[in-house]
Amino acid sequence: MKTLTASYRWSIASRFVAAAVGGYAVVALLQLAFTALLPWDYYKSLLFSSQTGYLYYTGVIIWCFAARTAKRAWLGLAVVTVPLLLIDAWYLMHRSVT
Amino acid sequence: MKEGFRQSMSWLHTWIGLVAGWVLYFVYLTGTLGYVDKEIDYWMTPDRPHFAHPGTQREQLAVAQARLQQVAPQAASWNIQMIGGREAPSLDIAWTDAAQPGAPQAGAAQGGAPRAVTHHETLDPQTGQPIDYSARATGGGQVLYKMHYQLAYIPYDRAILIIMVLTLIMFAAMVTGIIVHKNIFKDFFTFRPRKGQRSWLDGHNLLSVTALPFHIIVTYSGFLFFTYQFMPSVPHLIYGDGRSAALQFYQGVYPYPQPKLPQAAHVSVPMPPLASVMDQVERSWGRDIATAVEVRNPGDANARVLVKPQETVSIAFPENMLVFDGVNGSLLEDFRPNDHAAADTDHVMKGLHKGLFANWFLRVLLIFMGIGGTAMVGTGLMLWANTRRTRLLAAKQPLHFGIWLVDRLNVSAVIGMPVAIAAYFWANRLLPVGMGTRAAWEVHAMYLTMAAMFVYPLFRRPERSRVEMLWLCAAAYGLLPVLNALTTARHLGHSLPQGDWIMAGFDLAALGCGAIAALCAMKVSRSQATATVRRRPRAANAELVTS
Repeated sequence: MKTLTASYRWSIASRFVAAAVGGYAVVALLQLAFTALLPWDYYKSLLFSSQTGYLYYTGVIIWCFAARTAKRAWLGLAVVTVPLLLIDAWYLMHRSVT
Repeated sequence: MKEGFRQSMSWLHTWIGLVAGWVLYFVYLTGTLGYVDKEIDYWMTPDRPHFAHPGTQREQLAVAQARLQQVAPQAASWNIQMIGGREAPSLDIAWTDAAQPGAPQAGAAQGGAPRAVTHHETLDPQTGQPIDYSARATGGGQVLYKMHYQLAYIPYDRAILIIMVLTLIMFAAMVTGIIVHKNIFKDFFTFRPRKGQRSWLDGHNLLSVTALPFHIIVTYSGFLFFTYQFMPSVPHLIYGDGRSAALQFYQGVYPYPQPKLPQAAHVSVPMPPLASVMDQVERSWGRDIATAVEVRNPGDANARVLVKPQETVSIAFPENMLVFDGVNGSLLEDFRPNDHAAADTDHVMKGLHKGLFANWFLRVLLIFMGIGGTAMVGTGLMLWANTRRTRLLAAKQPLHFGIWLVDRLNVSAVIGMPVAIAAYFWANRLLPVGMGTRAAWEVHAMYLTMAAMFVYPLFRRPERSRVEMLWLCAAAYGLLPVLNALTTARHLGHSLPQGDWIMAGFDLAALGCGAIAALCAMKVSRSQATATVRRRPRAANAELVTS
């Protein structure tokens, strides 16, 4: 059995943080984005997004451990979260005006 | 990170399965017992009388109405729970006094509005007289099954967060497991017994795939119970901070509409027999569907009779009701609350999780699938240690501390947790009936036993502790019917001839569990003995077969 290098361990730790924190962030941001984009009452959008939230979270976990390197895992997270952040930020600003 | 997608998913499956495995095993185990929570309640309150011949629903209603008319003609409401279904083993009545302004009432001392007092009685369905029995204080099946999400000794808020994280891990473990297991339909029919490591993997796959839809549904729907607590930030952002966010959210999601009922007219009108509405109820719903009857303003000109179905009616268990005029007995409203699609989805998913809809046949299936899930987690945990042991021994390397620990924790959890649950049942029969902190001590007994079960294997070789604890488990369950016979009059010799199937069913199931544990003990000790014999010529390889 090959011994585990320090860089391997760091890679696992980094992926773990990406999966746990990144997954939570993606689901929360998506939840707000759904509320912004779906033409429903708030509670319906919230309920719908939390009912499906687990799927996205699981997707993020799988992505973070399937990506070739930990850096790519984070990069993939950024690709998803940045547009979501923009939508959410736009929505929150727009909301405060009205 | 590893060579390919499937390899990295295999890695993820292995490791998240390991970190969450022991608690998930407990969750699956106690959750499965939730499918028989009412039946466990019943076994754990043997003081509660059994009625072999409860009579028809109409007779029960007549008996209950006579008693209520006698003790509470002026009540604000009556509630009658007829014998039927899982949730109602006895004929129970309750009445709530009309809150009279000025009259001293319980709760009025605090300065608030006088609170209505509710009284309860259990009636003998034959004589209509209240039965005076003092049921022992017990957590029953309710406390036991609730441990699968509120654990024990941990604040509720924290416990459900732990469970949420574990549920997420469980779900991820299932998805990765499906990805890893590519020949899902071919391997479905594959079980190669007595092949050591291979058999464990086959068993693990078989258990997972056979009930895969069940595993996915219970895991995913389990998540839906606490989504708000898991992610409160967005609702807070939208609704504003504080309690009002939760309140606004929940009021939207669960509007719980109620039929409109009139206030009391304060004009006395004699009531027709309640049984007279049963013809219409059976025309609307069928026989033996209704088990609960509520009367608002009994004996008043504005009396209303509300008939409610039992939980087995549908998966989502909508709060359907038939509303009758309490004076002439005519059907006023077939009340079906209209929910929105999101709430319906929510109800159906949670309904599937709770399994209240299941009749006895489905219930047995659910229990088997639950046990299968428990075994799936258990075999997965054992695979972790076995795979690594095999690999290290093949490479002629020493076993590391991780394997030492996991081997022992596996014995503790997989065999020890069922033993601890048996201790919960033993405590129910052995603690003094009048003891004040009895219900709490049942739980203490369970966790003290569990603690012992976790300590013991640390001082024994797993090959020994495994067999010893399996024998303990066999005794703990196999002797439960004996204990029941020694401490109560409701033993198998009484329950079987009386047709007291729930009491008898528990005892027989305990015997069955004991027998299975004994079989396991014999099988494990035999296979370990063969392994020891074989160890001499091939010292290294024998270890593979050991477990």
